[in-house]
Amino acid sequence: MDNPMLGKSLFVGEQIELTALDAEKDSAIFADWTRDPIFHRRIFRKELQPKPESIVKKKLQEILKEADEKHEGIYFAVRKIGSPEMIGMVWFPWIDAQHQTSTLGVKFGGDEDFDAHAAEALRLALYYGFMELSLHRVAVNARGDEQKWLELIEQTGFLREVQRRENVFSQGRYFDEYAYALLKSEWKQKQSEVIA
Amino acid sequence: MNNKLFTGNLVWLATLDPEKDSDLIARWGRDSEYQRLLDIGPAALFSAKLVQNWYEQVGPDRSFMIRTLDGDRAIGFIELGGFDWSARSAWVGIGIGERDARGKGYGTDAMNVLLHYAFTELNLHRVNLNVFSFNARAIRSYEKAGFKYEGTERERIFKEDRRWDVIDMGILKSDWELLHAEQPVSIETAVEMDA
Repeated sequence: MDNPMLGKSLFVGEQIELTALDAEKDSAIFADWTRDPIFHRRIFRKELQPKPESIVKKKLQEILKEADEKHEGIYFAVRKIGSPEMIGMVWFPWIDAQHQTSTLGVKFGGDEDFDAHAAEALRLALYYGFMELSLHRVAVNARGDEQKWLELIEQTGFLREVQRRENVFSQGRYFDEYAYALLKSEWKQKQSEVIA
Repeated sequence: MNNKLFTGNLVWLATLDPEKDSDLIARWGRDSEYQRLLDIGPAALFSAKLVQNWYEQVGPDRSFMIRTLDGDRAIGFIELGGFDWSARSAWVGIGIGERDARGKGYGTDAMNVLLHYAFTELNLHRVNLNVFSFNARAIRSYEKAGFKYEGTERERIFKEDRRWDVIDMGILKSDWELLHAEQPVSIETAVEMDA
């Protein structure tokens, strides 16, 4: 008989895999990404301050240590299967176990990688979130100028719940910030539609 | 010590002193209804010493005790934290710990004073807050202070064996200015500061 707890990898997809984030090996790429205002804000929740590799290494060690000790965060590096290079990240920065909710972040370094692999990364992340972390609800943030990200999350079934007017300042102007969420029931409904 | 900037019609905002105020704040926590209105986390009890440590180490940047003008009694707290200095936004939190002081306009008055400070001294562009769907009294108070509804986080809370929503509200400086152009500002600009 099929045992649903076995035989399916939570981490390995068709083209990409979720792997450990490595403070030593991934810090150069991560440091480069801290120059991206959107990524910087989602990780550090502060105004843009690009960080050099040596600082990033320490920060990553702190983040991973805290995630391990407090069980409130999970971080994955996304890599093409068999390749050592980190092309993206998927992370649950604030898992609220009491309420079975979490926020989720998805980042890809390059547009081509986003186009080719973000959907699969999000699919793996949501399966992990709902079926392993047993979440009831997954929330993501988006800005008005993140066209591809907005398209992806809306296609995936996320609902726009909050529009924080002018809560982000970038490129010399204010942007609205959106909060989206997907409930487990909605995700399961969508899965059955895809299969059918 | 006191001055007009931090004084409203019913209350004034005293600078929160963790050493002096933590006994009272710890006592308010004994009221579980208060905790459920205030915090999404599990209601928990902390000694005055732990409350003091929390304020000293990780508490919000700007915390005030709400004190009545009549009788100078501490009835609650209000705080501003989570600053984003490029968007010039922050998050406000407020609690009226004394049961008999709820529903009397003290919270709304304290919020008016805080927003005046946020917009005219800190030069914020926007102030955010979250409120739970079962806290109708607070939602009315925030609306009176000028906050606008910006969305609902569905089923964000799991307590009492069911799910509850969280409401998001925000106020822009322009909202606040418009409101007070219509309803003249009750708080005078702090021209005369006490030395």
